[in-house]
Amino acid sequence: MREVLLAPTLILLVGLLVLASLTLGYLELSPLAWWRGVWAGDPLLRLVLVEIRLPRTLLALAVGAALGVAGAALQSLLRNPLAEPALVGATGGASLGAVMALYWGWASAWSLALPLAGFAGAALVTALVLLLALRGTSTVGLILAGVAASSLSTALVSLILNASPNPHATMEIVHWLLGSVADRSLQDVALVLPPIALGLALLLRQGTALRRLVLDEEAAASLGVSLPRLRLAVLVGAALAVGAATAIAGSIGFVGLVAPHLVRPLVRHDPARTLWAAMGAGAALLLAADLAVRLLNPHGAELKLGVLTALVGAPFFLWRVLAVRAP
Amino acid sequence: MSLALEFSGVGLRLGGRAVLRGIDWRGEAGRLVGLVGPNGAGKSMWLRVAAGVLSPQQGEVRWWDEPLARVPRTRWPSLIAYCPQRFSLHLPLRALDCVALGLPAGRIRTPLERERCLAALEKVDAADLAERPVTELSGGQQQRVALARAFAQEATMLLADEPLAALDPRHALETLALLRREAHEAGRLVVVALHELTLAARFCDEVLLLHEGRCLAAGAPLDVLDEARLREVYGLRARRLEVEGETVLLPWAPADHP
Repeated sequence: MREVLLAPTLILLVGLLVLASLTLGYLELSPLAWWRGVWAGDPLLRLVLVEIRLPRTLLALAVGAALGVAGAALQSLLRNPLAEPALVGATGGASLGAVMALYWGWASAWSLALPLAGFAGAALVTALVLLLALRGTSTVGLILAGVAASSLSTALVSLILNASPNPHATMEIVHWLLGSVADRSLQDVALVLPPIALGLALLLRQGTALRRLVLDEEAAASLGVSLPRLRLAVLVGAALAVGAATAIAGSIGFVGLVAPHLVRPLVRHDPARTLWAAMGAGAALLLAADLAVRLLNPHGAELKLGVLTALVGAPFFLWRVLAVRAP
Repeated sequence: MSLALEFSGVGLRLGGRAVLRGIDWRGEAGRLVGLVGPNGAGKSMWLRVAAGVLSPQQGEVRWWDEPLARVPRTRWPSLIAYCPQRFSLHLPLRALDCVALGLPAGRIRTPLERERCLAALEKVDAADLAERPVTELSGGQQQRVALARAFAQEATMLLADEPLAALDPRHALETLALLRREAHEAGRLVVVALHELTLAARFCDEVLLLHEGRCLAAGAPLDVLDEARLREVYGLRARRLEVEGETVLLPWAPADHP
């Protein structure tokens, strides 16, 4: 019964959060007055809606969905409950690319340079992981390749921070790294939606294969699952979705880890349905977190989205580790 | 009789070591075949190669007279069901959902498919476990659910790697009788790797004896498992007894003991 209700509940929840995200912000207006003004065609309010709240809401939705599905797919592929999207290296690569764009000033010269450099970084690091991982046949090899590539990009980001000429530049980079969906334009959204959608489509198509992988790799292979092809599809899908998400929003941790765990018991641990449910849960989590950072401190500097998700996510992670270690 | 599974000149190397060498064998449908041999003889590898999980470097495997490499993967589940030695789930799936992994979509979509899965659980005497998370079951119960998963596939061939290893004596006897019925009545080729020579000799139509990656002999169990071979392969002396009109093979003592 509750399984039948899960999809409508998630859709309703995400819908309500989208509405709230479009309604609540820094204007001193009641929700009713806000929507009345927008409806009446107030040019300033319409500008705020289209240029500020709409891109922010769409990004939270898309980035959350991307992280949720990528996390669910990787946890199933690696047969490891603690796997998360950053493991494939795309997060680190996108961060590195974006940080380079900030450091060398490309980002201030051209507004799309930041996300594009993020894409390039994600593509490069993912290619490296693929090169390392697909030669071997084991899942452990894939994890190690991802960890190695991520560490390398983190080291290079640190190197750039270290070489940064002044405190202001350092601050700019650090702030970007903390992750946020605020102050992005519709142009940014249009740039990242296609790769995120493509990555999600690729990941969601792997449901049956991931379901069979519950048995173990050999039994899945005997059921016609081609493991090399499945690994390639999940890696490329996750890299597209998470690389694009990171390129635009910075690295936002824990959503990809937590979202699948929240919904898995509700779908009887079915990996295929976990993919879909984690998409809704990821989007809902990120929308809620983004609302929270707006409402927590309405007059001072906004808490960064990535900081909030880490603050909430880390205790959850710890609890999972303890739960997994218990017999 | 129709030829279901054929090995011709199959050789497999893993990590620089030859684990299967020059194996030729023809398996006909409707028979229960016991795969026997001491630890490390290559039984599991033989089954993995037969199931298409591992590709041999030499020779070829044919399913129903078609080279395995040319059979589209979408047809594999209807042709061959493979039940590995260990059953290792990474998620606490219900036994019923676990059995459903053998269905075309990997899950139950119609009432008919639900019946098929429940019937498979019924066969292995595990109907009462349907709603339980598999990860909470005992080793023997898990093994029976794993076998039910393979049954639910309703494939033309069934391969099981030591399906009796964790079973109690009663379930072991019932399982072998069940596997023999699957072979004789449903016309499947059933191949099981076994260490229980007594049971292999009693239930199997044919026994295939592996030793150091080679197929030493294949044929009627009591012909294959003769004194000389048991001594050479297992280093074992066995007794033959007449019980209720049947000849029973009983491993008795290490061959080097008096």
